[in-house]
Amino acid sequence: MNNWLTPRALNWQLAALWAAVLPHLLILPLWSALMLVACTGVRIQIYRGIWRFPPWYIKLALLGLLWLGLLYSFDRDTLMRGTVALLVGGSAFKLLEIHTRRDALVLIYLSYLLIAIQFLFEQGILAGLCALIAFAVVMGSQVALFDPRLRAPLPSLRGTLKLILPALPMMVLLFLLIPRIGPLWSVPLDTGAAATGLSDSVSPGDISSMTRSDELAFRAGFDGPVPTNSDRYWRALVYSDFDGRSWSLSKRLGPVLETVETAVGRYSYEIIMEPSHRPWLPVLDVPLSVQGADLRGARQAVSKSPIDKRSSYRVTSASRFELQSVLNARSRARNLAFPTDQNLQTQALASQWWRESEGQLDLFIRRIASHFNQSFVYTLQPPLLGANSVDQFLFESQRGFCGHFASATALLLRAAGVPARLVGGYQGGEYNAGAGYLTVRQWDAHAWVEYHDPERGWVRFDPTAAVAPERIEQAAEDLFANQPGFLADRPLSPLRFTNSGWLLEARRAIDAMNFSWHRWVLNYQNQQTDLLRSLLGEITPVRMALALLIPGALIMGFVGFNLRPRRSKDALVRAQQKFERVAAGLGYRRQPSETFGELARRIKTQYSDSSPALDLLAFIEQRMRYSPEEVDRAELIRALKRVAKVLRLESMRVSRRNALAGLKETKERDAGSTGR
Amino acid sequence: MLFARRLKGLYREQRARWVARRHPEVEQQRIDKRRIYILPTAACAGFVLLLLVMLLLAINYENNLIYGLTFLLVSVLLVSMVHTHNNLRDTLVTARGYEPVYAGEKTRYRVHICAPEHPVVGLNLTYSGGQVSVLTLAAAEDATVELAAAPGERGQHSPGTLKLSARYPMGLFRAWSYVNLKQLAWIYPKPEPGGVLPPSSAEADAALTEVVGNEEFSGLEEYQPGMPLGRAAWGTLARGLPLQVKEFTEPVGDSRWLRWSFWPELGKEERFSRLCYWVLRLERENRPFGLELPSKTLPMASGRAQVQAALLALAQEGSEIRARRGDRDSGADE
Repeated sequence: MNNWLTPRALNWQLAALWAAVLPHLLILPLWSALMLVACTGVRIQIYRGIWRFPPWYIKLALLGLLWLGLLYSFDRDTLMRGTVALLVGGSAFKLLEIHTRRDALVLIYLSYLLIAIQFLFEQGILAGLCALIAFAVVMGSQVALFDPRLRAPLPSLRGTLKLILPALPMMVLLFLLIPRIGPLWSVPLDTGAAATGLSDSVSPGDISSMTRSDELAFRAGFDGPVPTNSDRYWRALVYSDFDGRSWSLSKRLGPVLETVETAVGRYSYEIIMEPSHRPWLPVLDVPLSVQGADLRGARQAVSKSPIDKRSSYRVTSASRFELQSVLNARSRARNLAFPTDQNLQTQALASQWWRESEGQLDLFIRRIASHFNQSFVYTLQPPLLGANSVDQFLFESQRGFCGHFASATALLLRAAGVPARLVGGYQGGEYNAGAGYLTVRQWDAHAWVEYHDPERGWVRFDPTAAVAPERIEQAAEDLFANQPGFLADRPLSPLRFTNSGWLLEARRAIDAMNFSWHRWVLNYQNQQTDLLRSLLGEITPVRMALALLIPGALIMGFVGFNLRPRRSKDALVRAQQKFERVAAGLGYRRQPSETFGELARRIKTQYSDSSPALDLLAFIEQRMRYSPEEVDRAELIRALKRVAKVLRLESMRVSRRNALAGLKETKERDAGSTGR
Repeated sequence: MLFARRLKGLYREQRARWVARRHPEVEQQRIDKRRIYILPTAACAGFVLLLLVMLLLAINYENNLIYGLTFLLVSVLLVSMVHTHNNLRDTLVTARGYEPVYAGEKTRYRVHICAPEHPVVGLNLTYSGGQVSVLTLAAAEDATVELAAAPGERGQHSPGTLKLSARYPMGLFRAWSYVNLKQLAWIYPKPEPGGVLPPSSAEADAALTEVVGNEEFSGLEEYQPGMPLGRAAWGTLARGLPLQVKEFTEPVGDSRWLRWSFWPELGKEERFSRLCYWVLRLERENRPFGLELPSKTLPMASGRAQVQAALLALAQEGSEIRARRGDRDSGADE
């Protein structure tokens, strides 16, 4: 069998490999790209007959080089990328030994795999489109292997599309219906860039780097009403331990979940979280229940494993609530503890204010807020603080951001004997009215305070609001636009130019598209059950099988139907075919060498009733053959149709006569038998 | 080992019998959809392996885009199956005679293939034991191909079942069909040099002065199957005329009789081979000859027609014309 590759098929091979590998080259070390370029060059030289296929020892040496490169560039943490580099290198070497169709198929299958692996690193809409194009090219190369016609690549691509386009509805069907199962075993994934987002401790000054970033933190899609901006407090971490300088998570999260005693104003929503490489999940204050994660201790949502890829969870929250009105001795003690040998001025101030407010908690809080309102400045570039950082902030610099204000407030409260703690998370979010969801970015990161009121339980207090109330009422980007630190590290960020008008609209539309992509494609497994239930009612194996098989059969039937033999466009051919069919029905099959006129003459010998029509046909056909310019095509078509009609009538008459004769015969036989 | 080989032989025999039973002999066959068989290929097994690897990636990384790509490949697999089946569909196969050959050479049969309203891509044609010919036709295009079948013995030869197969478009499936064409070839005996020709009586020689030979160009004659292509007049063919063959004449040598009784020491087939050799040799030497066989005698003559007749007589001698089932059935077809 002729299994050797045609030159065109070889060109396709090179195109296919490059299409599949190109996106990977962006994340692989330079030497992989060089290796691929070199192998392609050698392959082209071999193809042009200038060089010969390399002998085995050169291939072995190349393989050794590849291993060295892999050992040099990758380690345990970048195992996945190392695997990709190995696959790319292997494919490049395979280029040097493609002789037959089978070799080419190995390379094509590797290319498919490389396209799939691409999605482990990048899952955007653009990546999906690029992969689809690469897929078409790789498939084109596979078709080229089995199509010996030498054609331009474009019609060849069209042939490939004829295979891909009917496959798309089938793919959608499978995508929607095939049930997703959880991972069979845990797999390594490169953690990639350093973790961003919230950290497990807050020393005022740490959050500033986050506040400036426009990176997406998460999106929240609401089923019902959307909270107003002043209600958008996303709780992620609760810091209870204070060492005089930094706040950290309680060593023991505490198995006891704080109870929500009254809850009013419920929100039900789904959050699609970007990879944070941390287990903590932001939820709207205060969460009542979380699907897909645990609620622990001070109502913090914690995932079972760090969020290393985009994932989603459903939450129900209450906007007005009473949280844990009775505090037990241990948590009371923990939320009052602070090092008494530091920040002495702050402690003194706290006792003074507590006395002045006569032990009334509300007055004390108001005192703090008015203090911050007087001379404090909200800035993203605060000065560095020394040993007694809270003292220094309150009495010297008086410049800082949410972390500074929250930290100072919590210490003031504790010093006054009020249990208090720091809460870290996000505040705000941009509402996309068209799609009904909130986008929260890293610059929305925020810290506030919760203090314990014996009558109301834990109460949220945002001291930063006292300094700059606009921060609560407006989105971060509107407020910070004039701040020197805002987006300082991203001079070309698109957000700088899209603060108003149609650009803002366009950005929101693109963001909405991304959100749908994440929700319906990347995290489809979370929607699948609901969708299937709404389509099928109860989900049973039988219904699933039917839902898969019936549309599947329809699609495949449509594919087959599209390929069926078409009716000829030529009326003459159609008329000839009809005549041929009728004649065959009468037992006259046209011989390959026979003309229609000859067939007509042959039939004439038996069907004398139809002879005028048959004669005419034979005559016209003959004239058509010998002097075609004198005969009208329409005349011949008419003659053919007429003959077909006459013969059909004739055959009906014959069959009727036969039937009658048969009937008569039986009757006679019956009569004969009874007579005897 | 031996057992396995015997089992394989038995299987082949059974399959050939089944194929022959299912596919009666015909002059012409349209490969309609009911005659097409289709099965996955080895490449399909590799493809399925690839799909499993991709599915594993999708499951373990919970990556819906990899799921999507995997499902797309599954769908393409299914669609390509329909395309592979359709590629062969409605192709028209017609028997078109044979090229005469000597025993022991591969027999060569001509088959006419006509594509339907769609192109037929990468069509492989083969008789069992013969070589594969690959053919690609555009929509409604036709072509005549000469196919080599298994070598045969002297006498009548049938190439057996013609197999048409194709893997287009993706090589994941192979569609094939069998056609049992009414094709019978007469195989000439294999020429074996040797022996001495006894001198013949002179009575027949006198009349002839000039016979067809190799020396002087005498004119053109229309090509018939079996004529030596070395003498084809390509020049006239290029001018659009039908293929013609140059005729030469040559002075006459002395004539001879070739008789069945000449070499009694040889076996039956060896005698045919020896006679065949002498027919060809006398033709080369441009000498008229007569042939005397147990059931047939050719009078003294020379030239291409005489050689053809002699070779045919040698091929036909001793074998009655096979009664074919197709002949009986042909009446019903008309």
